[in-house]
Amino acid sequence: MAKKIKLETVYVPSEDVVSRELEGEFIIIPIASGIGESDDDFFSLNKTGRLIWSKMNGRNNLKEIAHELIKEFDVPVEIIEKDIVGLVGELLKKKMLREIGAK
Amino acid sequence: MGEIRFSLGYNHDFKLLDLLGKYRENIESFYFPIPYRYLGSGRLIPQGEGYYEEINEIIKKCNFLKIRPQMLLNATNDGNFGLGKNYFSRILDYLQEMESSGLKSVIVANPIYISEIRKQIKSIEIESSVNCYVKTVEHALYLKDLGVDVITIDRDINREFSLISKIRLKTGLKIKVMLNEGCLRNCPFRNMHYNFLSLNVLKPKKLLGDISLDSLCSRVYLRHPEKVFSIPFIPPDTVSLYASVADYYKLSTRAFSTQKIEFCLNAYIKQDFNGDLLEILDCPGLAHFNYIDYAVLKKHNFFSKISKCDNDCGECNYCNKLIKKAVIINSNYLNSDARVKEDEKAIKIYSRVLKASPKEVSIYLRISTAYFNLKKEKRALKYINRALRLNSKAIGAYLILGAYYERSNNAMKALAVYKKALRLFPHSGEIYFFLGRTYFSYKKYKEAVESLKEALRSNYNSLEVYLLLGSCYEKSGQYKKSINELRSGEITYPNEAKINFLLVKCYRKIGQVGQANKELDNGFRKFLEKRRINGEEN
Repeated sequence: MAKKIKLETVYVPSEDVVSRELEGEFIIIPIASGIGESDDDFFSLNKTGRLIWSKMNGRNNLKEIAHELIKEFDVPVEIIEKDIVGLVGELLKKKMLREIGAK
Repeated sequence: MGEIRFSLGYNHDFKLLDLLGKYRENIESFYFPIPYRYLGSGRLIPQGEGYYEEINEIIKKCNFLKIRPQMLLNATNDGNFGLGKNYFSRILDYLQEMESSGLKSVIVANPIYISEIRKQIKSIEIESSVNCYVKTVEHALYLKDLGVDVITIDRDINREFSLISKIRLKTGLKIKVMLNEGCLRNCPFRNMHYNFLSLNVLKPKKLLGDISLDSLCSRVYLRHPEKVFSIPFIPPDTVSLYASVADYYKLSTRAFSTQKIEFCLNAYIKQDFNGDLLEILDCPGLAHFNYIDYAVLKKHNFFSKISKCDNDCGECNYCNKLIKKAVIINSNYLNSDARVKEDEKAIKIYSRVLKASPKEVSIYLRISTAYFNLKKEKRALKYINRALRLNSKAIGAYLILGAYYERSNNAMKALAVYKKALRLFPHSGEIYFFLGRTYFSYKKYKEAVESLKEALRSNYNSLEVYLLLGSCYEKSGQYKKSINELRSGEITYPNEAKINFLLVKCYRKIGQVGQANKELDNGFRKFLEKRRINGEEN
């Protein structure tokens, strides 16, 4: 069963991925070990997702990231937190994030 | 009508000469290339160190069996040197020497060579190569003036009986047709392909963009899979239709294994075939497909329909319907959604094939693979067990079964299956690769490296072998060794972004950030190019 994502947790991008903006799209690609990965096994983020990704730098927990995003988007914090938890869940499933603690 | 006899090409396996004896009544000529030291070739096939000496043996054996020995000079581009006097003199001297040893015939692409050989070696038979691309009477007459005795027609006109007949009548020469070449009709890459191969004998360079020669046809097939039916091959059951227009029948076999040559030759001798067309057609681009059910093609009057086709596609939809009924595309060339549909289609087509051939082990294995792809493991296992009941040494069954245990995270069982398979097939690079892969997932990196190196030594050098070797060393903290293995892989797979991305990780670990960034740029460039092609074509 998937672990519950807590807003106090701090995440960083896994060292097993590379990412870059390509032709207006933000792409995250797993570094292949040769097992099971296929060429279309990459993850594409929209503008909000990219912003969340850029803030997962090991200094902010998810709650802090949500509060920073309120400045950019005129939506209630609960909705932003829900979006963040959803995205983090997806990225964890793909092993693209690494948990480094909580604060 | 007399019995049809065929021309076979040498695959550089000396055992093929035994087949010449076995099928001497069915083979009229045997062709083999002039050594690379004299001229390039239309194929990138290693000739081996002893080939120069082998040629005398081949000629002797052919003459003993009363099979015409033919030397190929089919390079389409000899660069700056090709028309040099000294360059050609070496070729001519060699041909004269071979003629005195019993060489009866040469197959030549360069029209100037045709003319010079005719002047200098009067008694040798000269055939125009299929790489002369003869599609008209006029062209054939020019070649006749230059001195050819036999015209090989361009395979693109294989189904134009009246034109072939006219070429034969107007020239008065003998006509040779290519039977089983699997290249696209009007292929846009053809001239470039042959010119490139002629000049790059065994020295493939890093190529422009994401172009690799074998993937060129796939680019066409991704957009138009139905074009596979435009390949102008001559099916075994239709060879007799050519008796009134052709004299010689050439099988394209230089890139086939000896086993496959015998299979293909038998299909044409019997003039009947019902299996997978890919078993008899020759073209690396056909790797785009997994199966083409010729029995279904015949049922739908394929040859008659296609021969009358005016190629105004979009009207009758015949080919598109046939793709759905008879053709399975290799899922490696498809995106994930399309793969699921193709696997579902594969199960239907293979199940139908099994009804006609219930003892065909390979079909049981193909069905099990499709079920595995669809994550229906129980059904997959059922078919594997059926295959093993028919043949306990079916290597594919062990590989598929082992992969199943790997996917179920049961590394111990997977290792046991692969080790059992290695006892049956101790030289299989493929099994060593799977064993290495399992050790890797089990975090046994030292054992994984040993198995993967053994796979490479057994000539199993897939991209995954290099990635796994690189990963094993990377996981064990041996970054320089990892970089070395990945660099070796990059020589064979210059357009694979995955290699660069793994290099990024290694260079970062040893603090070479600048080099890591360079690899990152290279990786994303390759990724983008591949995605652009797949996006356009899927």
